[in-house]
Amino acid sequence: MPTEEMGNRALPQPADIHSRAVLAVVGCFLLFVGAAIAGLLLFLNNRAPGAFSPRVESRFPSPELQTSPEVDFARLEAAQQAQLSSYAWVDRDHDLARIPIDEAMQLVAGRGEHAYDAPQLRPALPPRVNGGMP
Amino acid sequence: MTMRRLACLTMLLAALGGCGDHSMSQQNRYGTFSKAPLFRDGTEAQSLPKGTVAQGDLARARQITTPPAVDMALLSRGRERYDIYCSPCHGLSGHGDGMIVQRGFPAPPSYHSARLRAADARHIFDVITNGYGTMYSYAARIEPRDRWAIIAYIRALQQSQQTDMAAAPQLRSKLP
Repeated sequence: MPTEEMGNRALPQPADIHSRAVLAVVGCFLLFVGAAIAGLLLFLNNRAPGAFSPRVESRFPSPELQTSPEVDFARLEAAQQAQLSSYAWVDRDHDLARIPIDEAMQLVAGRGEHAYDAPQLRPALPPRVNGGMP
Repeated sequence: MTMRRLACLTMLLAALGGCGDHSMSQQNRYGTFSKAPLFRDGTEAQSLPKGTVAQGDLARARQITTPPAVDMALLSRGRERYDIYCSPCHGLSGHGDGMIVQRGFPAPPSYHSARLRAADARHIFDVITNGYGTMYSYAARIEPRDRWAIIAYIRALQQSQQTDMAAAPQLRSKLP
């Protein structure tokens, strides 16, 4: 490498910085940032008017987890077994009652060849809301 | 000399080890679904001869078309099968409130609704066999005779939850 070239490279940077150019670049940058922020605000104001309003705290309903499935099942089974093993009036005016399933099985077995037939048409029971679960 | 013989014998044994019988893996047969000029229709996949039935199919078909006589043994069997297969959704008493429903599954209709009290036994059999709505088919799980047993037990459930006391006056004294 020639000595002259090395000498030129070793020279310090000239002091005359183009301050106008630097200011112009910085100014343009600030203008660009300002325009971008203004554009974003306009966009959000049009598309999402509530974006700048304070957030309303919303609470989701808690998940219906079973903490004790065995206890839940035992409670449901007990309620339904009670329904299957007790006597109670369903509609006293129409002479309709609930009887234990063992009695009902004997009645059906006693029908003979008509055991599969649909029961006589009667007013249907109202739908139950809760099967014994909490 | 002995060493040379030993080496020759070893090489002979090694060569014999490479002679395998590949007739089991490379057989002279048709590949699956390939062309087969040996058969009249030219395909390897031959359908069953006309009229072929699986063992037990005829007896199963008879069970489907001919309901068994209803007695206490059949009803007890139906109760056991119902409690196993049906009660998780339909509930033990048939109100459509089983544990699965309690946990969010769509509720099936109650057996004590007017529509299902009037439903024909064959309809219930078809529902068990083919499924209905969100209920899938139970044909693979419940034998035809057990389906009839369940239907008989459903009739007992309907009787239990809505009994005309005029038809069973002997039970009137037990009512509260």
